[in-house]
Amino acid sequence: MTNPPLLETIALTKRFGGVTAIDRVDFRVEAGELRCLIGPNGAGKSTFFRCLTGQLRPTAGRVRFGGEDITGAATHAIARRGVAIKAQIPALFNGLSVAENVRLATWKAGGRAARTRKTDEILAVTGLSPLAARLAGSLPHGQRQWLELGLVMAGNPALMLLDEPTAGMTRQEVAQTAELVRSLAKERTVIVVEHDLQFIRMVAATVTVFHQGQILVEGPADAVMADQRVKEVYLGQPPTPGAC
Amino acid sequence: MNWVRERAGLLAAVAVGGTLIVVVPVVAEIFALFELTLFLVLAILALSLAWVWGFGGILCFGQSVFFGLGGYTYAIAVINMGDSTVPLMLGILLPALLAGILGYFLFWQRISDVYLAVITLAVSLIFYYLTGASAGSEYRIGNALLGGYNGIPSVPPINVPGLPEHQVVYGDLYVLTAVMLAVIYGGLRGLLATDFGRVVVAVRENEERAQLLGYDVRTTKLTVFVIGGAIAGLSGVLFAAWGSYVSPNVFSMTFTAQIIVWVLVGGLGTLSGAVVGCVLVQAAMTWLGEAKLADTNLVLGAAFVVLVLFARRGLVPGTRSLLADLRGRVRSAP
Repeated sequence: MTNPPLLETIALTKRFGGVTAIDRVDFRVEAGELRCLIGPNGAGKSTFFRCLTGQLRPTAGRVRFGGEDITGAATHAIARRGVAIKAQIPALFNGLSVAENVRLATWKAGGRAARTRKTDEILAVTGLSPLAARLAGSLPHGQRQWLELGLVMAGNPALMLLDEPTAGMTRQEVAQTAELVRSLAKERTVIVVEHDLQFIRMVAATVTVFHQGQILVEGPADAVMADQRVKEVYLGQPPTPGAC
Repeated sequence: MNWVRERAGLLAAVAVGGTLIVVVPVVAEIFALFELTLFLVLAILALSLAWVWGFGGILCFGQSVFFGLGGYTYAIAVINMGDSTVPLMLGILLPALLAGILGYFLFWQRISDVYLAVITLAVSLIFYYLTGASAGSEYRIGNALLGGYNGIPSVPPINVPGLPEHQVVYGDLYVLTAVMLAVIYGGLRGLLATDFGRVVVAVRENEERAQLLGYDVRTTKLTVFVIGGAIAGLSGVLFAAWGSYVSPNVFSMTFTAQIIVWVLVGGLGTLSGAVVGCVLVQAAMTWLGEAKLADTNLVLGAAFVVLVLFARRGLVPGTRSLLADLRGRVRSAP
C-alpha cells in the first residue's frame, strides 16, 4: 500500500468575481520532494499558494495535507500543522529587530534557552548575525529575503512554500539560495515558484507549469523546457507587440 | 554607566512613581491633591488606550464605553450594596466582559481598522443615548435611580474591604489611585516583556506574518482588548468614587476624543507617553478654564495642530530622540 501524498489538491478552484484564477487544479507532491512551479505572470501560482496556506478560501475543491482535509482551515491552524510560506514580497515585523523577528518564529523549539539557540542558529545560516540588532524595516531588499527565509526555516515545517525566493538577488546570491533550497529539501518537502531558469537547473527539480489557472505540463526540468506548448506560452513566447 | 543608560526609562518611571506615591501626598495642599487624583484616574484610562491602540494595534475610538460602564456599574452596585468591595470588582469585570463580547464580533469577523474605530465609537454613543434616556423614577436598579442626563449623584466612596465606615477619600484615595496607576504601568511593561507581549507587538507589526507563523491573531487581539477594557473599567470606578457622581457624559464624543488626544500628545507606542499626555492636557485644560484667558477647546486645538506639525510622534518619543541627538553631539564635540 502506498502512502498518501504529503500535499494533494482535488479540483481546487478560486474565482474572484468573474475571473477564475485557479481552475480545477489536481496537484500532488510526495513527501521529501522538491518541486518548481513556473508559468507566466497571472498564471495563478501565487493564488494557488495562498489557497494552500488558508490566506485565501478556495471557491471549490479540496486541499489535503498529510492525508487530512485542511480546506478552509484558519491560516494559523494550517501553519501549526507544518506549512510555511515565504511570500513574494517579504512580510516581516518591520518595527522589531532582526533577532526578535526570528525568535517569534521559533516557538516550536521549546523553552527559552532552546529558542535562543534556534534563533542564533538561524541567524548564522542566513548570514544575518551581524545585523541581529537592526530593525527589520531598515534592511535592504536582499537581506529582507534572507530574513524571511530564516523565519520560514525556524519553524522547521514539513512543507515549505517559497514564492520567488530569488527575486531581486544577484547571480551569486541566486546560486547561494539554490544551494540552501537543495539542502532544505533533504529533510522536507519544498515547493518553489521561480522564474529564474538558472535556479531551476541548479536545483534540478520536477517542474509543474501553470497556465491560465490550470496545470499545463508536469515533468523533469529538461523535458518540460523542451516541450513545445511550454515554449509557446512561456519560455519561447515572442515579445508581445507594443510591449518593450 | 551603561547599566544606567539602558534602564534610563525604567529608572525615570520608578523615580516619578515613587515621588507621586510618597512625596506628593505630604507636600501638596488637599485641594491640589484632590485635582491631581482626577488626573491620575484619567491617566489609567489613557494607559488602557495606549495598550490597546499603541501596542495591540487596535484602533479603538470608544475606549470611553468601558470607562463609563465601569463607573455606572460601580455606582449602581455600591448604592445597593453599601460595601464597595464587590462593586469595585464588578466595575472591572463587566467592562471586561463587554470587551470580550464586542471583541469576539470585531476580530472573528476580521473588521479592519477604520470600521473598528467607527463601530467602537458608535457603541459608546449608543450608551450615551441609552443612559441619557433613563430619566424618571421608573428607571431604577434597586435603590439606584439612573437619572438620565443628570446622572447618578451621591455615589458612596470606596471603603476598606469589609469596613464600610472606613472610607478611602481625599489623600487616601490619591495614594490608592497612584498605587493602582503604578501597578498597571508596571504590569503592562512586564507583560510586554513576556513571550505573549512579543506576540502582541508582532501582531501589530504584521498580522498576516503572525498568522503564517502559527499565531492565532484573533485570540491575541481579544486578550489585549479584554485587558484594556478591564483597565478602563477600573479607571471608571475610581472616577465615580472620586466625584461621587457619574453621568452620560462619560460616553460622550468629546470625552472619547480626549482619550485619543492624550495618547497622541504623549506619543503612540509608548506607555509613559499616555500618562504624560493625559496629565499635561488635563492640567492645561483646568488651568485655562480657571484663568478664562481664551476658549479652552480653541487653545487645545491649536496646541494639537502645532504638536502634529513639529513633534508628530508625540512628546515622549520626540524628547527621547532629542536627548539622543544632544548626547551624540556632546560626544562628537572636541
